[in-house]
Amino acid sequence: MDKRYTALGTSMLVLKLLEKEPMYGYQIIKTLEQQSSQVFRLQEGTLYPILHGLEQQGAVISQTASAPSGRIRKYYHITPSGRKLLQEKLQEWETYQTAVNQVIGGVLFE
Amino acid sequence: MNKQEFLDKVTDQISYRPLHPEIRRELEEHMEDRAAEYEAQGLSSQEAEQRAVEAMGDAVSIGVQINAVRHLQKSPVLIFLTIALLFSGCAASAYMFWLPEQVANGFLYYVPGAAVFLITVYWGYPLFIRFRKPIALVIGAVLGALMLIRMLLCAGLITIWGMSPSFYYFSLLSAALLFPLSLYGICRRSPLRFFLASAGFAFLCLACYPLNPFNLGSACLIANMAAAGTGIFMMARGKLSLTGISHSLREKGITGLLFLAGIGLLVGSNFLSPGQRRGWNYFLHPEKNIVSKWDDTYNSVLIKELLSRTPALGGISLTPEEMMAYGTGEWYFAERDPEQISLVRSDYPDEESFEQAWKASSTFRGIVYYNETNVILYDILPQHYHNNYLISLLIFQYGWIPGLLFLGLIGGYYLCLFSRIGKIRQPLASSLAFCCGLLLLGQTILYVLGNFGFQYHAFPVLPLLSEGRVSIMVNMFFLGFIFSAYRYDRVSGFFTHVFTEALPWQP
Repeated sequence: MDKRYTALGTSMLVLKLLEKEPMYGYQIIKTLEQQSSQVFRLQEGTLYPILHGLEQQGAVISQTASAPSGRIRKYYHITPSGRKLLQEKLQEWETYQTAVNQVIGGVLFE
Repeated sequence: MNKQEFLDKVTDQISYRPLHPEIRRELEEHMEDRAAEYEAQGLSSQEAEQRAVEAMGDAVSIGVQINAVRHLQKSPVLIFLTIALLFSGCAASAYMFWLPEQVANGFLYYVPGAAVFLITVYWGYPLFIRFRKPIALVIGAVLGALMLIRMLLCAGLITIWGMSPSFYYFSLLSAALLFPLSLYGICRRSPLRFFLASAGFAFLCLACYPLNPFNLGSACLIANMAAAGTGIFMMARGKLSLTGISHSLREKGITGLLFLAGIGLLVGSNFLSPGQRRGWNYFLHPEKNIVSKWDDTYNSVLIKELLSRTPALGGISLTPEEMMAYGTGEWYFAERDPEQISLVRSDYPDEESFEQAWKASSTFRGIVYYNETNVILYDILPQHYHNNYLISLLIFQYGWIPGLLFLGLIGGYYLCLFSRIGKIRQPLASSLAFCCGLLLLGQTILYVLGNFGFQYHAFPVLPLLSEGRVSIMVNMFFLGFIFSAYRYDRVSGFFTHVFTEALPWQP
């Protein structure tokens, strides 16, 4: 897949998960695996440049807090501008998906 | 590769070293979680750690990608240009000053000014954020002291002579930084708080204004406009409302009304007192407010007259008679009030006859010590406030084109400065930097207008280029703060959580 769409897809999925609740990095990876029935298995370290990038864009903010297990975690929260960004990414994804479906489904040649 | 080697490889790619512990901790926790899961599946701890490291991917690539988004942003060219402009201002001051002592005095402020700038660039923003509460308290205490002085002055209990007007002036300008700080120092940022902060700040300016109306008139205007501009900037960036998006039409309406009311108060408070309205009258109609040759309004009219006679290139050309008419004020007062025309010392053969003529005058007349045989252009130009008229003098001496090129240089510098500010992403940092930028720009605009014959209250300085003392130190702090906020913008994510509405939150 085009690298741009891979990045778009990953950050969109991360924002979508954070929309439901604040999460820490490992929790995001696990949730992503579980909810996609193990289809999305990232190289785990690549999540962090994405999270830091989103933080620098103001789409997420981080907070260090102790988890129920007692360990100190860095939780990421989605911000209002992150929600806006998510909407934009979802729309962009839909456009991409429609175009792919049209080609695969042969709609363009009908 | 074990866990520590992996972390070393990642952090080796990250240039800003203070970030290393934070990033190491985060990645290490991730690998420990993953290893714990593998151990639960029956792997040995060594094997589990090895698998967890492998699952992370390429350490160098991760480090490079993190460094791409989290690094110090340096502006060496603009920092060099700022210091070069500061020292060209020092050279201009040395050229304009009359006494060697004044030149030496100037150096006492320019060198520390450069030091203040560099120290602020390198440590300003992180220290400001760390000590924002004491800093806000200090600014508040200074303003409180000013208000107290004002009350004591009004009550006739104290008299202050010799206190530099710059002290009042720059205390009030610095107070403008409280405006964005007050909006971000609280958890919820709402239009109502914006309105209250605007009303509070406009009141503060109005209350300080009578302390020194002539000098503080322009300070109030600059501070109020900087606060209003910062408010508009915050609104435009969606930093003002709690949610960033107003959901209902009613909510949008209330937000808009409170915002406009706040901006209206900040702008409108510059027209409320009779002194301010008089200042605007002098600004727009200097010719209607000239009493004597000593007035700034006279300088405004003289500047407009001389500018109208200056060609595009080559400077103004006047005969000795014309220069004497301008120098003594004869060109203006001959038909209005001849008593205001300056006496020419060489017209009187001895001290006695001169004294007699001077005492016979009913007004405090000026005296000129040149005559038609030795008068030069420099004698007649408005320059009695050292280098208040740098731009107009440049135009008179070299023509409009060099003067406009100089203005273009100043404009280009501000364009670069605001483009840096526009790239700052952190909400508090960008708002404070924008406010600093407006405080500098406000002084520059009023200075430039004054050089074209439109002077509002006292002249502000031309930041970087104009002579000054307290002004150099404070303006260099404002400039340094902008560069500092830009420098640390991409690495200071850990500052933002203090100011966000989502917190406090518990997992």
